[in-house]
Amino acid sequence: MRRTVALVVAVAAAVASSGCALRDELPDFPEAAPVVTAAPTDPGRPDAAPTTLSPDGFRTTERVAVRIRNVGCGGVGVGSGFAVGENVLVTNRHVVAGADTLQLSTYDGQDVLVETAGSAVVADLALVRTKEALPAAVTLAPADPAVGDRVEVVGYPGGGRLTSSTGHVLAYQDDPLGANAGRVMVTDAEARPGSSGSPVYDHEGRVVGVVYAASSAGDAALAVPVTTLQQLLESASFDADAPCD
Amino acid sequence: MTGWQGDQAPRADTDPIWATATGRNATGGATTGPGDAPPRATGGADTATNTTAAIPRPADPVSSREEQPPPPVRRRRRPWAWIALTTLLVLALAGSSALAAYLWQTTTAWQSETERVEAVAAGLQAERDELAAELDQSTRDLAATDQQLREAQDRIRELAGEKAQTADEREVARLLVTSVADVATQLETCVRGQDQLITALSDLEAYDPESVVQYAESVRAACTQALRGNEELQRIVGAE
Repeated sequence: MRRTVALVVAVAAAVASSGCALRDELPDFPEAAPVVTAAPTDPGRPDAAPTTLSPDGFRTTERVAVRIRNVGCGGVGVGSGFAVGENVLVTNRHVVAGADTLQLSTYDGQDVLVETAGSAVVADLALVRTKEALPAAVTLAPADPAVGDRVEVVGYPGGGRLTSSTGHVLAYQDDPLGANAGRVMVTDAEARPGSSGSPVYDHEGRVVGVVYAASSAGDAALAVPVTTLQQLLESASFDADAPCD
Repeated sequence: MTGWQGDQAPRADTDPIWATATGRNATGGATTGPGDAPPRATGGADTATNTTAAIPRPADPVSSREEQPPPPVRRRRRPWAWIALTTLLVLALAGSSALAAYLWQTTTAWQSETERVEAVAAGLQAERDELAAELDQSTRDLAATDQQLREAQDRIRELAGEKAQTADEREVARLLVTSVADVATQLETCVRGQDQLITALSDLEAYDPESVVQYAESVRAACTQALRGNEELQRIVGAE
């Protein structure tokens, strides 16, 4: 009697426990898999350039650069400049001084006709107004760069092709040439005759200075700080240049 | 068989109970004792007749010994236990069968699903490989295009520079031509003045000597300027 009851109970318990255990581990039927569709995703532009590119791939810092030819009494001189507006560019006073004719060309060789030119008195800076629109214009930095900051100079050294050189701000000092009032920037960016009027850019592509002199070795340059340029632009103290006699 | 044969048979003098209870001696009659088997008839028939006529007796030992032994006691069956056990086993069998069927269907479904997923995965893998190949090709094309763009930009800079320098040379040449023309004019003036001066000197009496001297000075100045211009021109040409 007891053995029979025990057997029944054992069988019942075994069936129940095995059933429960299996129920817990039973695999479910697979659900209908979603239809895989190749949804296009935008991977984004890798390595976006820090400066705006034109359709021809040139950087804005290059497109604003202008080559200036001064045809005057003393012959033919070459300098650099950069556009600060649609029809206005900045260069050095000594680049446009004594010009009988100013001839401009852009980074891609396009010629631009000049309307007028005016020079500042207190600094080696000049404004040139053009009849035709310039390709692009730059943004001026709100303050001068600090000593040690990385800078880039884009211009036409030697009157040759458009080139750029990089360096750092070495110091601020009084102008050794006496062409500027106030302190000027010294940088170790490469510059040569013909680089006069070249813009000095910071790492964001903003103008922080204007080159006006270079060392004889070409391993250092003097530049008018951007704060001086801003003051002159705001005061509009540029006098019209007179042609050579 | 009697239970009193052998060495263990109690004696009458040592077992007064049997004497009192049955009134028989130790050699006859049925006896019982604690721990023994149930009492069975072992004595003779005469003894039983003499002592207990009205008392019901057990079956005659002699006749009982000749009958078939009683059948063994059969235990009572309990059908409800077997019914329950059978029911449980049937239920277990049915459950197992259902479970097996369910597992078989599930396995089949999972196999089908696995095959489908593997097919989809193979398709995706093929698509991925194709896209990867296209990406590689696009990357190579982009690199080649970027290289071509850089070369084109470099060529644009070079051509722009050459154009500007050509214009510089043109302007220099134009200025040079202008300077040559100026020098030529000055030299022509010099030569013409010298011719006139020679004419005047050949007929000096016809001219005011002081005027001739002044004219000669102006001719000298013009020639000096022409010579300086020519020297400067020669210097520029030599430098070019």
